[in-house]
Amino acid sequence: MHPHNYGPLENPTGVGVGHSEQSGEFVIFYLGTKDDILEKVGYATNGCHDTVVLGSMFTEMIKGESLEYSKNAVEKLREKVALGPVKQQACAQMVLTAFEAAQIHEQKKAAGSAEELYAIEIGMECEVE
Amino acid sequence: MIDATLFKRKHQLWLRIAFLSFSLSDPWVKNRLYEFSQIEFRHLKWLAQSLYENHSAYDYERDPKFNIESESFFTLVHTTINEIKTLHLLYGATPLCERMRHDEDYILSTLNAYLEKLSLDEPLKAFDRSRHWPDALLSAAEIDALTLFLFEELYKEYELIMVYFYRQIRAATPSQVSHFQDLIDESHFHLRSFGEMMAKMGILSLPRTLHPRTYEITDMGRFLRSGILEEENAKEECRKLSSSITDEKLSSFFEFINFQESYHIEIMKKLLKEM
Repeated sequence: MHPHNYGPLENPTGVGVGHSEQSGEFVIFYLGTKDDILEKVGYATNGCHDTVVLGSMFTEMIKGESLEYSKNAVEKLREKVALGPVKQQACAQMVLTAFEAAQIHEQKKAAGSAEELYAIEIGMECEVE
Repeated sequence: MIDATLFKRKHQLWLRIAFLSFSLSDPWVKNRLYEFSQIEFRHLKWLAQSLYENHSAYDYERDPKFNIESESFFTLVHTTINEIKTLHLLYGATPLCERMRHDEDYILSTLNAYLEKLSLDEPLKAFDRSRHWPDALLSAAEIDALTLFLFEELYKEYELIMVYFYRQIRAATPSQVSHFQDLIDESHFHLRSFGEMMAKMGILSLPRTLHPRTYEITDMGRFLRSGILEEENAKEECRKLSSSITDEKLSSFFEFINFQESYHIEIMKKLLKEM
């Protein structure tokens, strides 16, 4: 398996985590934004392969695109996985939550915050069937 | 010098030799290489202990270009030889480095001897992505289920080995060390079993790298409780696969693995009680 954009970025502009306290699963998302363009994106997870595949797809969708474009990409991915199994919706939720957390972190950092990352807990688990 | 760079290279060398072993069909060479990979894993443990005692940071990162795939056994042997020779440039004059160098001089001589046996250089099928199970006739649905299971579980076993390994280095009592060793040994067996099955199907590949959040665990109790949950999930995955595959041999193998997972839960419960 060779997921795209897998692994941390050097000097990211934002780092976000979507995690489930109950299962210990997480997705960590890295942003490298310049002039509102997502020049670099990266992610890592200890979740299942659906999460890895969705992370790979989503990062490919938004890499090199504007933040505005990424909002549409988030909605597109949500619409797409809503048609699939609940498990995939939970995996997508984990990826998208981490992306949202990374954007919040980026904004907080720009406002002077010294936090290393921003984390959001999610209620859904990727093990659900 | 014993540092994070040396640890990273040794981590890669362990994976390189283990996956080379999985990819082969010649039983004698396969077993010999697997033994060498286990020696490399012990080196890795001693390195981690040394780094931890000296308060030196290390992680489980790998070079982005690190790759174990090739159609030719000899190409992979040449790569392994070059990596070992490069590694030796990093060794200092400590007893541990001397031991590692000595072991690897023998490994090098064995690898060089393989290069002289031209009959060994048959094309490797381990990476051809054929997704064909040669030992039985499986339906397309069974092949799909087996493929997904193997990708998922190969990663999980690698993750478990490296998480237990991290906790073993930081264990507080000899009993904890022993329990973690049992768990590591069991996961090595599962990693090898699943890796060899993937090679048979032409889908052998490296598990993805581990993010530090996966293994840098400070709350042991929580870690063990979620570990028990994880083992229960692994049992369930094995049970599901075992019931969805009609081939008797494969099905009984997954039942066997399933039963082993049950005992892992008991070991983790013992660890929890000791805390």
